[in-house]
Amino acid sequence: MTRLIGQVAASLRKEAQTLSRDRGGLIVLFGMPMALVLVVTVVQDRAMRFVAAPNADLLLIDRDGGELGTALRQGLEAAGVFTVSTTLDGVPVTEEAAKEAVSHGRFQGALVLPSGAGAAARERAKVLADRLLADPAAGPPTAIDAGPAARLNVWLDPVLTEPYVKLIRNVSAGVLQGVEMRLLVEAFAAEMARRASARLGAPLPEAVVKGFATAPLAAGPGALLALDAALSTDKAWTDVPNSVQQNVPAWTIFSMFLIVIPLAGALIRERRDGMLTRLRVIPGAPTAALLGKALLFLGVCAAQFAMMFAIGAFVLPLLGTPAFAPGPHLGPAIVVGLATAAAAMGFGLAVGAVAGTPEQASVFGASTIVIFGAVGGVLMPRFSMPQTMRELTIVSPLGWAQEAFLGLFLRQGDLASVAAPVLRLLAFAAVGIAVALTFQRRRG
Amino acid sequence: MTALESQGLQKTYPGAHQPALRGLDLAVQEGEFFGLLGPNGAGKTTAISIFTGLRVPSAGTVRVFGHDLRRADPEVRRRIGLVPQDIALYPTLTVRENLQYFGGLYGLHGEELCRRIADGLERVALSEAADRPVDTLSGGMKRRANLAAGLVHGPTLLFLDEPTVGVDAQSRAAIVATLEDLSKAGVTMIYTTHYLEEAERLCGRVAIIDSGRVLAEGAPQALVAGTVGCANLEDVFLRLTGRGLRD
Repeated sequence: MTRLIGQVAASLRKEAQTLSRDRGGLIVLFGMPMALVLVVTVVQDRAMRFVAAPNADLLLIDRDGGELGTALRQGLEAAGVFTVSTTLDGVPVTEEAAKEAVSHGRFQGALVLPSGAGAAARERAKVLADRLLADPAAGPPTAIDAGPAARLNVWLDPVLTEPYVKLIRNVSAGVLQGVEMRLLVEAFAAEMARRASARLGAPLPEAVVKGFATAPLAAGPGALLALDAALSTDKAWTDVPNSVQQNVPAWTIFSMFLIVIPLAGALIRERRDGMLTRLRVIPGAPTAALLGKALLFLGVCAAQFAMMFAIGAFVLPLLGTPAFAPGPHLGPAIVVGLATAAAAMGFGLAVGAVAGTPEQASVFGASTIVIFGAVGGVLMPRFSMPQTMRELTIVSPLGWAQEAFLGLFLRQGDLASVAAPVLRLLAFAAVGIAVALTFQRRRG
Repeated sequence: MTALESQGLQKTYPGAHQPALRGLDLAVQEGEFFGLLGPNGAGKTTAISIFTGLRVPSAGTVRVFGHDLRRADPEVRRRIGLVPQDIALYPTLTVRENLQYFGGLYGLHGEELCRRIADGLERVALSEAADRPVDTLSGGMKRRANLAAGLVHGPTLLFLDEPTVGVDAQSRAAIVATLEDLSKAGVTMIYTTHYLEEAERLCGRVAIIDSGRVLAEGAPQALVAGTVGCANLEDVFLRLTGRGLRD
């Protein structure tokens, strides 16, 4: 045993010396993932904020200046999706300036409430109430001769996606419907009070008149029909990560799997150039050499893990993204990281045993990692993929690792909740090692 | 004592039409410098692979210092050294680092390892190039470094597969001198080469093999003297193995 430990220590030292002189390998293992996580996270940040927490900047040009404009602004802001401005660069916005600001993408939309819109709407409500109460048997009037309906003009940024356009339209329409309903109730209440006073020959008390108008709306929305929306778990989670939650684990996994290239290359060169022959003459040396490689590359994976998480926590916030905060999940994340490293190592050993040349290993290894990364939701967030591709995640070890990390960071899971992907990663590692040993024996 | 003994050694590779070895019988005494000669494809490398435990024979036995090689204690196998035909060294590591690695795998460490490395470097005249990466060395220096790596653990039975192939006269002379020194020190050496005059000069005994069989065995001078019309070992070799070209 002592001898084996000595042999493994010698192998580990040799592997470290070899890797430290492989500048290309070091760039692939550390430089490239560092660049990828920084660039991709920052690039995706705006888009993923948009998806994770939709927000659009709107301009409101309120020519009416009455309660309709105020209600519209309050309604839009209450939707929690829009930021509403009535000024542009500190001055009240004109229609021309608003159009230009929207066409240049500074705002996602502009709403113009024309002058007199509130009064016109109120007048139309009054006419409607008059007509209906005058002759209820005649039904609602087919036309209201109180001037044209007030129109709200909306200009939208042409680059907005369809769901966003629908969202702005629906929220605006909902706000208008609410205001319309209130005006109608107020008009009916006023007309009914007027008619009741006429019959009684005396005006109704003001409190009663006011009560007619406000009582139906006093209970507020949800008094008759309520909506209860709740999460299917008692833990607050979402399937839509922000760019940091998506990219820090994703590129950590990707970088870990990049060990396949130097690991497989080292195995093939050792076999091709005769070093393995020399090793096989020394009792215990092939096992020690393999363990030395395994330990070194596990160390590389640990360093990558620490580096990428540190970039997420300390560097990315300097570039304007949210900070990566593993919080209480760091312990389970380390376990997931180890399982990922084991899977990457098993894959590297298998590729090294099966491929004939370092070039074959490099091309095959790199392409496979990219494909696994793409279908596994590492290169692109899984929620943005078509359903068929999402189902393919099941074949990607990078996808299993990402699933485990997101299970911890997004769904507030614990180690037990991500046991399935972790076990799949460990099984993948075992299969890789078995393939490597089988091929190695066959070649021997 | 017999350092190496093979009896009825046979080896047929999977899918091969002809066996590589057909009942090879050899016995090499301790301290002997033994040459294993033969044309390409004769079975030399296969024999060495089996003698060093790299391959398993299809039939027959190999005994090393009286122990069945397949069941031998690791300590017996540690007495074996191999200098393969390839430059089996890590190219980005220095010569010293390579020797440290292989010495470490043999369980050497500390001062003993340093002493063995210094001794090996001196033997192959590479002390001054010890801290140069292997891939910056000349062909001859690489071959000498390859030899040093096979000696670092002080083997008592050393297999050398064409140790002087493709090097200049100076490096060849240095390697031959090293081998002579080792022989004087009592190391048993089994060596293959295509340089027959080198074998004639170095080896106390040679075996000429072809098609996996021993065709002749004995001291070079005795083989020359016993073969009518042959002036040297090369004549004997060509007489026994023929002048036809081999793959």
